[in-house]
Amino acid sequence: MPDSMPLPLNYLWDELLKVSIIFQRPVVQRQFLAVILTTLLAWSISRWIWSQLRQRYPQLNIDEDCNQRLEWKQYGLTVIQYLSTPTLVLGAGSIVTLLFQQWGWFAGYLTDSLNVIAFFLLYRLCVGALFIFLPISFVKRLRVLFLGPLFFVCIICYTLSWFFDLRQLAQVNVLTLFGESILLKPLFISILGLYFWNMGVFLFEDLLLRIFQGQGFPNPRIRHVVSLLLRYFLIGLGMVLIFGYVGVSPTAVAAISGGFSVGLGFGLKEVISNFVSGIWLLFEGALKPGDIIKINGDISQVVRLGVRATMVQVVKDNSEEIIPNQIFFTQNVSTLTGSNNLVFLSLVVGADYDCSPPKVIEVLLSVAHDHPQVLEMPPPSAFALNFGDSSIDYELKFCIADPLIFKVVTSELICAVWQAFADHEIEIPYPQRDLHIRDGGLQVSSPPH
Amino acid sequence: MHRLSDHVLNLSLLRKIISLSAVRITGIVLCLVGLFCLTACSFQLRIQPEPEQNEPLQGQILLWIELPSTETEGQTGSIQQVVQSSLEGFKELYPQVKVFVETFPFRQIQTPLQSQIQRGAGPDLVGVRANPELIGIIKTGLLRMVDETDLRASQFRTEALKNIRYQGKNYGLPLFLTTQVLCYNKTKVETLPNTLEELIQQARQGYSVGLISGFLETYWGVGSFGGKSFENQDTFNNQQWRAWSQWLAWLKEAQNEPNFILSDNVSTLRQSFLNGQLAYLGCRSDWLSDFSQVLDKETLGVTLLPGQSNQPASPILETGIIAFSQASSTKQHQLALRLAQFLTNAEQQKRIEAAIPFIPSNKLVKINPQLFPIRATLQDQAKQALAIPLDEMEQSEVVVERGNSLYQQVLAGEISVNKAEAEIKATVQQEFGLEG
Repeated sequence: MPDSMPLPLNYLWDELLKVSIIFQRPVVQRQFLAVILTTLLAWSISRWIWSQLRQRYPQLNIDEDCNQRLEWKQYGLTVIQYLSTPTLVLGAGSIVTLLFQQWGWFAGYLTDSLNVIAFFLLYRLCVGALFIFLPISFVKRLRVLFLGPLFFVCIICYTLSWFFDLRQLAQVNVLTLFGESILLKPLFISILGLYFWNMGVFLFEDLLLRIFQGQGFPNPRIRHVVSLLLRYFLIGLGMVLIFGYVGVSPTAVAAISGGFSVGLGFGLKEVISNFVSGIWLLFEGALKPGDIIKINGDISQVVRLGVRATMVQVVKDNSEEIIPNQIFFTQNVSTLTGSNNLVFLSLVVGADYDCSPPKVIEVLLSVAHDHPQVLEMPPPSAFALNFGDSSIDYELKFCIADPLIFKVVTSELICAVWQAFADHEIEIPYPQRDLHIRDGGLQVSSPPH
Repeated sequence: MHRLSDHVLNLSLLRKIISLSAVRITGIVLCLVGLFCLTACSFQLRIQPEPEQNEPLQGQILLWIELPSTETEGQTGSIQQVVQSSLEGFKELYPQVKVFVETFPFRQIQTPLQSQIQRGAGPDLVGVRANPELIGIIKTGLLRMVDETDLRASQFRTEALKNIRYQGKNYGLPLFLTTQVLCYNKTKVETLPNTLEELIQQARQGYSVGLISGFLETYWGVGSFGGKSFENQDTFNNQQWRAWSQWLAWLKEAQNEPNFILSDNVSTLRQSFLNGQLAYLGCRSDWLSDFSQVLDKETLGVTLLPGQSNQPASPILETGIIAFSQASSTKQHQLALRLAQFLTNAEQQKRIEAAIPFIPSNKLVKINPQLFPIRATLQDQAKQALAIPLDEMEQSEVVVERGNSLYQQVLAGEISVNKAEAEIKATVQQEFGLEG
């Protein structure tokens, strides 16, 4: 049968019935029973060995989360934990297969099962080897999101090939959409291909960021922009490649896009606008993670730049806010960390008329110089502002490098100025009110009884 | 401290759980081992006695069919139609039996058959040509023997039975036979050639003759020179290979005739005949279902291959057999056996024969030559054909391979026919362990 000829959905049902014929055979039942028993037996032996080892070496914690890198003993234990079960199953399975062959029993499925276990052992060896070279948290993510599912899919396909002709199975017409047959193979490739491609891209991006970080890449903004743009480029490329390989019908695409064009125009307008704004922001570089901005009247720190939205952390209450990217193009946003992180602050204080202004200025400057957070460059400065009602007012201007700590620095400086003034007997006057009571007395009347 | 104590507590709990699970699992495993032993002991590969006759047969079985060598769409379609029709007849008798059919291209069934039966999967019965590869499957014990009572050998042709017997045991039921005949175009031919001389005369007169080139493909001419058998059962057949060398000499001369085409390009020869460019074509009997779809009754004619006086042509006879998987359950084998018996009974063979040109393996099938001249010719040709017994097929394969090489060398003029004869004799002696 040619590959391009679609098969009806009931072909699947017929194939399942054929498989049921095979499973009615004692020679097949016996093999699968042997596989299950051997696996269970080997697994329980492996667990027992493992429990014995845990009792013998209780001090060794092989919990991967606890250690960035495993010690060699820990690594040995991990290897035993990872490889003991498949190795024992493989050994026991080989013995059972040999016995089957010796007795002249059918052992084809047993041999196939050994291949699966050998493949599983190889998979675990590979994952174990990755733990040596790559960060544990990354390998764990890699295993859970990519390698594990990939291994699972391969095993499923291999197992299915025992019972089905996969080339024919791939030609089963699952449904007809816009007059086009949707076959099992393109559907399978589309779903799994997209999943594995996207996961691969995310993990690659993760690895890339770790490498950048490890190499001490100086500019986090460039690091972030490169990884983000690479991610979306690769995802787009993957989609084009996968749909191109699958051969998505242009007619169907035209029909779908035609039908949804109005919906796209209205419903997804904001999304597209945000997306374009996000790309623009990334290229422009106006914002980067860690920037301190003033938006909606609050000072916030940029946590993450996304293509659709930007996440900021509001300093006031530590809440996180997701701001659509187009806001940055339609509203005025002040950034405190645009070209540099310097923040200029000032402190106004009054001093007694009896004190010499140069002395007060000197004291103020010394307080500023003594504070560790106040930058030496640009240097702090102090000015006498005006003759007030009860004091001469002075202003201390200083500069700090971190906008998020301005309240702390200001508070500490106020305390330091008060203390310095006290030490130098400089009085901080405050308006005083004298109450004068006039003559004539106050008439007090008692209530009638 | 609190966290540490929690951790210790969790660890001890974990150990308890592990040890408890291990005990439980070991218990379960031991139970399952016992169950397995009981089950394993109860499984028997031998065929159980048939159930009571009043018990209706029911179940599902899997049938694999090897398609003919040419495998054109029309031929495949007509074979599938015949199979379907036969299965419907079977279903009328046994309504609770469902048969699933899978078809495989010619000579592409052996590998999946072997690998699937080794697993215990694959078909319950398989319609396949008897060939050397089948012997490999028989030797590995993957095909089930059929006893004489199930075979009912008396109803089959003797030649057909040679292709199901291996080392004295039967490994299936013969389903059909194929051989070679001479096809001709009725609109072009006036007188049919009875002898090789007449054939070459007609070629000289302008009637184009196409013959398939090759050792086995041209072996039919050996009979015309006195070679009667391909078999070398007990003693070395000297006359047979003398006849082969004479036949080779005849072919070498004949190929120089302008209207005599000796070619190994089967598809071109077939197409030329269907297009009316060839008056005669040495064709295989299983091509006729395909030919009859293209050429009408007034155009397609079939006659015996030409021989010489009292020495008819002796084409090779191939047998399509139904073999049974050793992996099938007792019940499945009973159903498969019943289906095979149904397909090989005289009535059903007559029905199949009526649908497509076909040489029945059942000798009780009688054909009226007036009503069905092509089918009658096929039967007549089959009577003179030579079967290669399954027992000798492996050795014969080596002989055929060597024969092919010598055949090509003789026709190319590289060696003499006498040298080719000597060499093929040496090969036969070596393979069959015979003395000259």
